[in-house]
Amino acid sequence: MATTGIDFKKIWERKIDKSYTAFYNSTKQNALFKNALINAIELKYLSLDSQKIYDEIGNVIKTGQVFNPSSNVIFLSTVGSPNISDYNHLLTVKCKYISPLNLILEKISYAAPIVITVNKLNNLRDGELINISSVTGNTNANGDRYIKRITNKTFALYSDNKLTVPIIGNGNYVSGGILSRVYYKYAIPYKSDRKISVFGEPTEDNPRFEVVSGKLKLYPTDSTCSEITIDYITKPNVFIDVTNSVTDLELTYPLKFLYYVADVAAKMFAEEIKDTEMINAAVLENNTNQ
Amino acid sequence: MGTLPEIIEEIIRADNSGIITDEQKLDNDYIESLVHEYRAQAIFMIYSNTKRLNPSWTQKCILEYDELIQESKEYVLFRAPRPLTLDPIRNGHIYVGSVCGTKPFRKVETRADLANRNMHRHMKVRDNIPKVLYSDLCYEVYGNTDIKTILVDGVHLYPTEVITYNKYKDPYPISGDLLDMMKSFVRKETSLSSNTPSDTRSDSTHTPTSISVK
Repeated sequence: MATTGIDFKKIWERKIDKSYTAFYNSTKQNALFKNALINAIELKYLSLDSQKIYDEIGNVIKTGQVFNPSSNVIFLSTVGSPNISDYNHLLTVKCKYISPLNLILEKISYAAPIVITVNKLNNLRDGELINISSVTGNTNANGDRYIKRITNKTFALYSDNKLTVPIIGNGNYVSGGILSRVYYKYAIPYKSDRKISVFGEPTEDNPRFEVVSGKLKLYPTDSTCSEITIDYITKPNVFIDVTNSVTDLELTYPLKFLYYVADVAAKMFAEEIKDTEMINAAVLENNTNQ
Repeated sequence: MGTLPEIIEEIIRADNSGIITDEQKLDNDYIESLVHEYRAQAIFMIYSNTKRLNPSWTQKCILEYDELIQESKEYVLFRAPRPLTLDPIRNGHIYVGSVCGTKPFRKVETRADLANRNMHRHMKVRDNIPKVLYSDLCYEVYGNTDIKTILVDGVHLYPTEVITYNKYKDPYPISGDLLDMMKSFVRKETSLSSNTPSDTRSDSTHTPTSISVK
């Protein structure tokens, strides 16, 4: 059974004394419910630690969204580029950094898979992701490649982390080749009072982030963060319209969450009209429905 | 045994009721430094009692010739990880020699010792085994200037200094009994900091929120 804006208004009216609703026209009611919806999402976000809570605001959570920063910055509004236009709250962010390895490519085989030989001992291991660039001749070696260690200095190239899809050579190696290690790690907050710490310095394999001035800033800044994968809470884009009898709100918000929004709206209304009894009743219902 | 990040996460979880988030009080780098420090302390304590080294504590490290760091034609320099000091006589590098592992070089503790050997009329002539002296984060190899690689096997002060050690993939060089001892040392250090409430008042003094200020 659908719950439209008109149905929601009835739910809310059951929670409050209907004689007061004469003061609220539909415009004011829509504004109240918009405010209540935003507040309800905020309250759920603050206690976001169980699957139940995630389910209730699941439609305003986005996970695994990929963006490409510019100069290690992403704007968190429609102003500026690149931006996350519907950003509301950050959950987690993963940052991709490429760190040059102090290795020289000596040989690249024309085979399947391509086998590369480097000049020095190193700590590369099976399944690691490296970036190869500027190879001429056997250009299929270029790009982000997963490696399988054959010896201390030779590695086979694959396109998947399970090492099942080999990279196939497309020519004889001529020259060049820059090897870098790809780090794609979760970042932690970089608070201003921690910047003094020697241990807290951000690195490519230990990145940090700041949300300041309407931007998401990624550290370290002396290396380029080429990509982020972010989980975040979005701004709601479906609001309650008390005159609407068509849009089913349950397609966006679970019914339980709609009842919670009604409780929050009842409490806000009661505070506005300074009805203490109604406030206490709304708080009690709020706590029950959480 | 687990990798270094796994050990660090175990310590963090133990202090935070099994939870790990991105808002923890202690930096991973700081806990990592404690792990190295207390591993060294635990090894020193066990070695002092038993005079034996557990093979789980050791790492093999092949050092390669680097043209850029050479200083003299008298010896060959190899940059090496720092050894753990086991006692006043012995450091943690139990083997320094050829890469095959069967021809150890003669370890010399000081330059005076090296000079005495070079001046001694018997040792100077008969002793054709290369001599190595650890100084300034490098091994100086005397007696063979054509050498291009040497093997160092032993207990290093910082396992991450070994060039072939991958801290995300390789097991941390520690044994089970040592791991428990080391974790308890580190947790004593970290649990006090973790349980102290944060100082949220910007007044240039450390005033945790649970302490009332009159």
